[in-house]
Amino acid sequence: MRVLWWMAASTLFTVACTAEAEPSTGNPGDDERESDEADVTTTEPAAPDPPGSDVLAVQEIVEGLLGRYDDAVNEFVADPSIAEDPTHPVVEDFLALFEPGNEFAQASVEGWVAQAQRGETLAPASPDHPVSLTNIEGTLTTLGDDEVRFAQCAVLRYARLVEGEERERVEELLLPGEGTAVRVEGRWLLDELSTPPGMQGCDMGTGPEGQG
Amino acid sequence: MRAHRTTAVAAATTWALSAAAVATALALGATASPAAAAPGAPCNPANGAQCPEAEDGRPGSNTGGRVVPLDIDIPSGGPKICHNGLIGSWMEAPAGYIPERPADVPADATFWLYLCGRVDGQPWPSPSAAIDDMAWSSDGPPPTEPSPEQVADALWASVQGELVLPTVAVDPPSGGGSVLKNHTFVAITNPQPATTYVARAGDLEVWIDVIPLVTFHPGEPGADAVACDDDGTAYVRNGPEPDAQAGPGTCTHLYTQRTGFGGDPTSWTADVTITWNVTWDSTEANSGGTLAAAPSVTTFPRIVEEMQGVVVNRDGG
Repeated sequence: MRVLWWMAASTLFTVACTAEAEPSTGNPGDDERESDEADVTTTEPAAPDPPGSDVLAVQEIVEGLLGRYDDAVNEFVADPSIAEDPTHPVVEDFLALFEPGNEFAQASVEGWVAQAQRGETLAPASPDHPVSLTNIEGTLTTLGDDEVRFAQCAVLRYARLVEGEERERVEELLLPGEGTAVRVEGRWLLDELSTPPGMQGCDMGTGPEGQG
Repeated sequence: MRAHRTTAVAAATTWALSAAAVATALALGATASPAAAAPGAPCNPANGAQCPEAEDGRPGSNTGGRVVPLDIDIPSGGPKICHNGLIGSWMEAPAGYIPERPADVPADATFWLYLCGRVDGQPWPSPSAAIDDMAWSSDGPPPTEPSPEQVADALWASVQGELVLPTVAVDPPSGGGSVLKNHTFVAITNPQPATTYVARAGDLEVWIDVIPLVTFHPGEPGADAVACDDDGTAYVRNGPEPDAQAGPGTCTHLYTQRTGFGGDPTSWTADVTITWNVTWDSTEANSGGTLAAAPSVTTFPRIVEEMQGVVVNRDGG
């Protein structure tokens, strides 16, 4: 299970009080108008994410990002038509993983739009594993305080359907590749994931948590 | 197909199909169809954007991911052509020579044999030699699937309608003309980025990669052609100075020769030309090629004038 500790950590720096100012009950011009003092809501700016040199901490952050990436990808492949709506929550969640204008993110969404136009969807090949699950392999490499690179493995188990009709079934496909993440305004974001053509098989072998 | 039916039928009736011969023919396999990748499948089917550009032109790869499926009228395969170039004929397989029906074939399907004659008109030495293809079909003789080339031709006819002339916006505008030794900016208001157009015919997928190369020709003698992006370079009115905006790689030109002076024409004829680099490929092995497309050219006149300045004496006179 990916530990989204960074999300929990960020909340330690947020103090929020909720209050509602009651409307004035006095007449206009009434000097004895009562009013409640509105509670003040203060929000301390969250501390920036650790720099790239803090490999272990950043790795956990990136694993969390990949978890959210997989969640979105699995939504898209199940119903790629949602990619056609830029205001759809899944689209917004996905794009929020990247810096605004990120080309990889944009190409991803365009790819799912094309997939929808082809009438193509992917469904899990088995009930206990999503279509796609991405894991970091080994430890990530620091390229700088604001950039890291990592080896990643995508474990795919899917049935491909066209217009609802199954065309192929892949029990397991291990696709090795690389990824990069960047720290933008103190927050780590995904930058790009790539899968070199013609390669299969990952060092980790059987996928996450020893599941075969 | 029917024209050669007599020959095919004659060939069929001159020999008795033996069970062994049919079994041999079946063992040789039906129409050889090399295993192809799943139609349109990128290297990562969950997110094709993870796939780098591939040399073999997979959909969405050579053109940066912009894929446009097109609905086209899929051509009928026409007469089925034998491997020896002749046109044969479908015949329902005689009883006793029908293989076990696969589970995914409808129960009412009939097994058909495609029989071809010999090029020299002689009878085949063995019955199985006449069998060029075989297939199950629920609705008469199996239809001939279009070839990748046929689908590519139909797709290309449709794609050509997508390739339009560039619409050009020039700054200074055409009415105002260019000013000598001041940058002229050329923007393309209908950019046409590199695109992969895709069509499907059953399990066959054909795609055409269109990669545009945009060039601005200023028109004045000796001027080099200027390579431009899909959308050229628009002048930003409240932005940096023109010299700063017209850096390397921009779609701009500094005119150095006046028009309408000393016998020169009243305007230079400039143009923006889109040269189309077009290739096609399909999920069937050993298919693909290049397609010729005429460039799309928009011309426009450029009047180049010298900016008039007023020289003021020190005393204001």
